[in-house]
Amino acid sequence: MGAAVTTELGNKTTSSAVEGSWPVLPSERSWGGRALFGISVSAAIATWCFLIGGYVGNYLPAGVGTIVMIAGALVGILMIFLATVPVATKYGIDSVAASKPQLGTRGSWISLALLYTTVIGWNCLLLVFLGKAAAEILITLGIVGEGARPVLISAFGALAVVVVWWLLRGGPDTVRDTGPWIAIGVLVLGIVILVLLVNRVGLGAITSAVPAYASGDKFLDISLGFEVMVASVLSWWPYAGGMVRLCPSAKTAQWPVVFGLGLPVGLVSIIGLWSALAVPKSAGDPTKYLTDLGGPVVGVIALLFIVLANVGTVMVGVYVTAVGIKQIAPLEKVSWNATTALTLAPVFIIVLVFPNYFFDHIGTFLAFMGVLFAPMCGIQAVDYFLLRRQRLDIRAVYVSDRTSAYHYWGGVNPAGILALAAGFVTYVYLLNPVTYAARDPFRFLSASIPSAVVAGSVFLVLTIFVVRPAGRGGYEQDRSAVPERVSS
Amino acid sequence: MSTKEHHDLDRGLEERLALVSRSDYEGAPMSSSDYRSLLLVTGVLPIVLLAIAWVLL
Repeated sequence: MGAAVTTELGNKTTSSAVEGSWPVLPSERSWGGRALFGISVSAAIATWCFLIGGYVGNYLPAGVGTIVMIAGALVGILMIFLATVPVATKYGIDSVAASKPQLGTRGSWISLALLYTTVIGWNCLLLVFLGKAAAEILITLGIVGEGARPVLISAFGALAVVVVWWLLRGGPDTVRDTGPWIAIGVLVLGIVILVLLVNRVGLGAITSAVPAYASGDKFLDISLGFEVMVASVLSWWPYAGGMVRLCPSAKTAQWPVVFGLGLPVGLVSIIGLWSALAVPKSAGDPTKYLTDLGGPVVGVIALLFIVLANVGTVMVGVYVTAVGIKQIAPLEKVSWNATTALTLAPVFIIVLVFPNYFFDHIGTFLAFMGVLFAPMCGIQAVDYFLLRRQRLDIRAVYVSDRTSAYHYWGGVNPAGILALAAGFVTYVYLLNPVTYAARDPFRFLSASIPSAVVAGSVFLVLTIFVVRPAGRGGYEQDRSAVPERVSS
Repeated sequence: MSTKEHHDLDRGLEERLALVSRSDYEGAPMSSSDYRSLLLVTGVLPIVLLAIAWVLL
């Protein structure tokens, strides 16, 4: 009987760790390198890649844009890697939990807000995209006229929100198997689009097409394309920690993260770049040209696929957010259905009220990913590698009262908040996320990298001169602990 | 969720935290050569790519 109770408790705690936010023990980490790679690719490849590449197509031609996007994806994933992977694989914790040593037990709610904002943003884009595809199908088939398009986009987007909520009623089981199929389908769709573009428009016309908003300043155009890609990949911050904590070691996670989560976004976005250049008015959005290029049959099938793929991707995003926001104490006891409804409510409003405005300002959304996550990456890397010498007080991460070393002042670390603000101001100074107006030295340094460096530096200085002398943050015990040695 | 289940889960978290605090329950870190190869691919290679892009544009 006693053994049975212990086993039952063990199963419950294992499930609370793997499906919740508790630290995952090495014996429970079941993902090898191959599994992580497959799941990362599944998460990274979605129809949003077409939109990201389409935005880069505003500034760079096909050949150079392809090279710059690959460079941006690699740099973005390096920043994510240093901020999340070593700590997540060492202690089996997710990105939000890993931010408590820098922001404080309550300050880490900022991380949750970032997670919430990011996934809401991506989901809005995908659902408006879905609405556009569904509207195009009905218009192509002659069921409705062109004038009904705006209403249909909102109606189908809102309907999809309800469908996603309905499908998620069964909990996480519905989500688990959809990712790989979506990724494979998007890859096939991408290949179909590339073949159609090359056949109908011609490779020469695509490679020689001039980007619509290129300034002619080589440094500026390359930096803008590079920044769009870095910022897009930075939005993987919440996903990366949540996934790699199920890997037994950082070494196992190293290449699957780089080649599964970072590089594929750059590669698949190339399709968006090329289509934006081939069909300039599309901005990479395939709903605007698929029926023209492929004819009604191919066009409608491809559009139907976009509808289904986007429903699947939104389900994954809502699931990740719902698990994340259940870490907030008042929401722990809220039912699963109510939590998913809470996650989808802002998406429903945006999709219903101003879908086109949101979709037309995708560049602003992408830049905000850099604004939000670049400083966070800088702070986390500086704290973990330089200040704490790769050692956390893991108990303090999960105890939220005054006894926690990460309680700081009222649960908030002012050094972390000020450093985030400094990174934010740096980014906005260098690149206005709304107008994309850039100031020097953006042309040479982009915006995410300086933003991360400034935030990390401010955090370092404030911690050394204010936080550590005040005896807050557990830095003294970290210093007295045996430093981590990397094997060579 | 009942009070007993909450209590069981709290106990489960405490036991887990005690384990994770031990170094033999930590995931293996990366070696310095792993970090070098990571920086080569995600730091140095992008710089080379950007230089090529600048020449081509």
